Amino acid sequence: MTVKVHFSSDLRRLTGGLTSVEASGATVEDLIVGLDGRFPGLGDRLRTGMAVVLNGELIAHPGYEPLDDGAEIYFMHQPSGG
Amino acid sequence: MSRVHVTCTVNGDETEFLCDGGQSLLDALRDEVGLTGAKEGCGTGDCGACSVIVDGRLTCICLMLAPEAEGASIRTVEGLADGDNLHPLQRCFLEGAALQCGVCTPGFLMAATALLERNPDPTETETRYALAGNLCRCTGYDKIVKSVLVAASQMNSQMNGNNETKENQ
Amino acid sequence: MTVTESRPQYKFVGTRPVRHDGVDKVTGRARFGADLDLPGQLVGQVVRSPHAHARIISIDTAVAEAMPGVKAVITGEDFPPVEPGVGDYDMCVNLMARDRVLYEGHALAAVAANTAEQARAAAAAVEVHYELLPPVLTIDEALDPDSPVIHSHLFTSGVDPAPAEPSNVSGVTVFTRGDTAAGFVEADVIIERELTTQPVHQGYIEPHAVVADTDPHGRCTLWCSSQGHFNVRAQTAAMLGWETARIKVIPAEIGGGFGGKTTIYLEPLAAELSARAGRPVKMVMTRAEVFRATGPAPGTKVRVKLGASHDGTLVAGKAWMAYSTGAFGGVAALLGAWTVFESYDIANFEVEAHNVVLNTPRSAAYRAPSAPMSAFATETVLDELARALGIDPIELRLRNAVTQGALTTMGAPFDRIGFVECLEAIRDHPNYTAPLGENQGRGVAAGYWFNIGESSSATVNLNEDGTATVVTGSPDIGGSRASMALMAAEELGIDVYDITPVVGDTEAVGFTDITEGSRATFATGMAVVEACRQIVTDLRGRAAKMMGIDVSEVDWVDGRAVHSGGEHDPLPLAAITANAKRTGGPITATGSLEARGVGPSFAVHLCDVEVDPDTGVVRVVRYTAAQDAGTAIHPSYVEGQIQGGATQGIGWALNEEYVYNGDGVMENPGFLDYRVPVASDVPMIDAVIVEVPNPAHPYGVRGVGETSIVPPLATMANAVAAATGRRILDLPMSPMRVLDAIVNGTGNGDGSVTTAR
Repeated sequence: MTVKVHFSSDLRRLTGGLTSVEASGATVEDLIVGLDGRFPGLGDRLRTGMAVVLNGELIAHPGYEPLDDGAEIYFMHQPSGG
Repeated sequence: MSRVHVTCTVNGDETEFLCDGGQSLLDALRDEVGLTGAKEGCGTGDCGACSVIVDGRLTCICLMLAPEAEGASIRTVEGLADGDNLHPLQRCFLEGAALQCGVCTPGFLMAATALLERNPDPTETETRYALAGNLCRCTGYDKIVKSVLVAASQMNSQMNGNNETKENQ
Repeated sequence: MTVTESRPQYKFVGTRPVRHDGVDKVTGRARFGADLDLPGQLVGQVVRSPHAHARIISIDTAVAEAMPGVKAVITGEDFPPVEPGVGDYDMCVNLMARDRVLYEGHALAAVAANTAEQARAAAAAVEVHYELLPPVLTIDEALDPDSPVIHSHLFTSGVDPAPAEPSNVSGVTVFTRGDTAAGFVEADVIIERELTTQPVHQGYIEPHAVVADTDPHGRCTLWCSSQGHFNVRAQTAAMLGWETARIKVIPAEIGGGFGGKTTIYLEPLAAELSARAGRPVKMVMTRAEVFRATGPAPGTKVRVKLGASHDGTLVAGKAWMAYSTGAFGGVAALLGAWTVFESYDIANFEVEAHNVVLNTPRSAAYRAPSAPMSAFATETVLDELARALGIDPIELRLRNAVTQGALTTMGAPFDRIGFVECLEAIRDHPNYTAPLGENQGRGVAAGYWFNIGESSSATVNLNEDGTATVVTGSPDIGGSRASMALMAAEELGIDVYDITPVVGDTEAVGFTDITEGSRATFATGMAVVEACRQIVTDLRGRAAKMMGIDVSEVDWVDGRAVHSGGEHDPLPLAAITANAKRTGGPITATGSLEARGVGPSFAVHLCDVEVDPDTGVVRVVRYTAAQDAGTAIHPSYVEGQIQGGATQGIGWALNEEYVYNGDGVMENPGFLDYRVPVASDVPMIDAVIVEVPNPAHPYGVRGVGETSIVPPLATMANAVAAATGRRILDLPMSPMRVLDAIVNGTGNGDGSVTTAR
């Protein structure tokens, strides 16, 4: 599955300045493994404290979420609260 | 240390307990008598969570020594309802959503009781000043003040109704 | 007043029943944290540091242990070793100092004795030898390269290259969009301000309290009030190095939390003391301990610069932020950076936020953590921009407000949100144009909170007589039991009073995250709805059996199984539960989920103040607050959240602050000197519920607990500026500070404008 990946802008320092890339993966975790190959160190960052917005829904712990071809996925920080 | 024997009236019942000379009446009611409606929010008389009525007077009993209660008549939130019939203030607090967490509620109910006994028809401002010794961090006081005013008006119309009935007789 | 978008008409949702736990709470029967006593119970007392920063040379407990009635004494050495950066290091060291004390009030030992008096005497007899270290007490000191570094293991995260030296900045968050420099070049008007706020306490009326009973087999039961008992279990287990299953936590009623009871302070100490003494141990904090050792919200220093074109379009924004999180790092700066420009559609911005460590208590979450301070800055600068541009402040916000499809700070598009509706509700409210008296001024400001989802579980049990019990794992801080019952009533079609909502302990219901992030009615409500829908499916199947028809022919309508063909009489729920044994056994279902699709909540507040020119005292004359609830399940408690948050914000703006002396000793650790608003300080708060349903929730819920504290700081400051012509940029706006601004003309109230060209 090829998806369009958008990064929260604070992650730019780990993505060579890119805020969005095309990448592929059957699940979010697959995607992260691939992204870590391209941007070493990014994988750990995306696995800790990061949520995604996928199909308009915020998913706080996305790990094994399946991806549809052509989907857009936004990595952002997990919200917390009081 | 020898303990002090105290006899007083709590919510109409003669009550005896033993306490330390330096124990607060709040601790004695909670720990020796077993009435935990009055709460300790500060221990310095600033929050009103321990408000009860002692000999007709609204009192922060975290600042009153237990032996001082000898012979006193004490009214707490546990004695506010008449059996299963809630006091109008209790009913209005429930219907008016005047509590969120509820920990300050016993103190507010006793402060409001003391207010309405002294001034059965208070204005909003009088109500706010009468309750200014009680802290609530949840409600912003809006629904508490409204509920006290509604209870006052219900109690007054009930009383006026009774008076009218008497006059009619 | 309620402003509602079109949505389904509900029978129960949106009504105002008396809460199910209400009678217990007005009669004194409800049991809060400190209300439980066990036979044979000891009293625990914490020994706390009198110094803000010191090395612990030695702790001698021998004298204390030999004192009458003393059954156990513990220090940091009695807990498993900890390592910086590994596991729950910060929490463990915060609960019990190891080699150093990091703030005044830091726990360093604890004792358990037969009586409170004995425990206090023993605590006083614990001998501690300190080597005093210089404390770092302000953001400016912490950022000064010549100041001491508090933690030699603390290297700033989030910066490139990774720093070679440790510092007092635990982390930096940077968000950017577009070309900020170019954006400011395009701007017709630019305003930049630096604002500060002081640490404030959540101020819940119930101090932290726990009873721990550890049995000879090492199993421990904890009774305590918290915002999340599963979290109490996890954190207690982590600090003690115990398996989770050894600990059972029974939630007491909670006397307020506001974020401050999302973490623990006493529980592992009480559990360990109980294990050592072989008896139950009760620990209750004094108010002074609550102030000195539990979570204040961070103090802040924030610079915000905004550029706009003549028509009011925001073209560029820049923010530099520092949040003091006390003796340990945290996420405060991230949340500040996230929220500072989130409400407005700005094409170009740069945000840089610093998390600063000080020798003050470890900060904890406080209702929409970090957002009130970021909104204070942005909404103050917006107010000045509106004046400079000659545009109505609500109109300026309407021109820039985020709507569906606009990008969040982190780049994802917003779903349906109700910011514009809140702005319009205030603009159209009669209070927006009410006449003002002498020395009065009007302020308006907006705020936002993203809300959270997380994990929730709910079990619904139908009883033989057709009533239902709804067990959830979410402590009820402000009426959520009633909300759960309302949603269950709507789903099952039985009366809301035929439902008993219960908060179950850690062994009675599935894992549930903390009641925080305005999530209980949203996420736990989703779990309740899911369980109820399973129940309805089951009920339809049972009814089909009883009617002798296929389940596809059975509809659930208004609490009754109805045969679509109409040949069989409808079966009410109670008729089915009465036959449960004959149709398959107990009728029960559990909904457990990780809630998705959380919906942000916006709010707009409007305030009129009157400032006494002789004393500087600010009186709140009128206060109106509009907030998007999505759907208000129990409108009274939604209003209550709005009114309560607004009042907390008023206190933050006008009075509340931690005051330290030069040695880092808190000078106002009581409600006399730390002044929270009382009934006579505030007017009625006119709550306007806006309902723009969250498309991802079965009833459109967004979560309402937190947003209400975000706008008041700027709302009040903008109103004071309007009343006095003086712009006060440092909170709190205490009478002294306001008077100084009036008399000495400080506070740049001239709305001085930097023009780009």
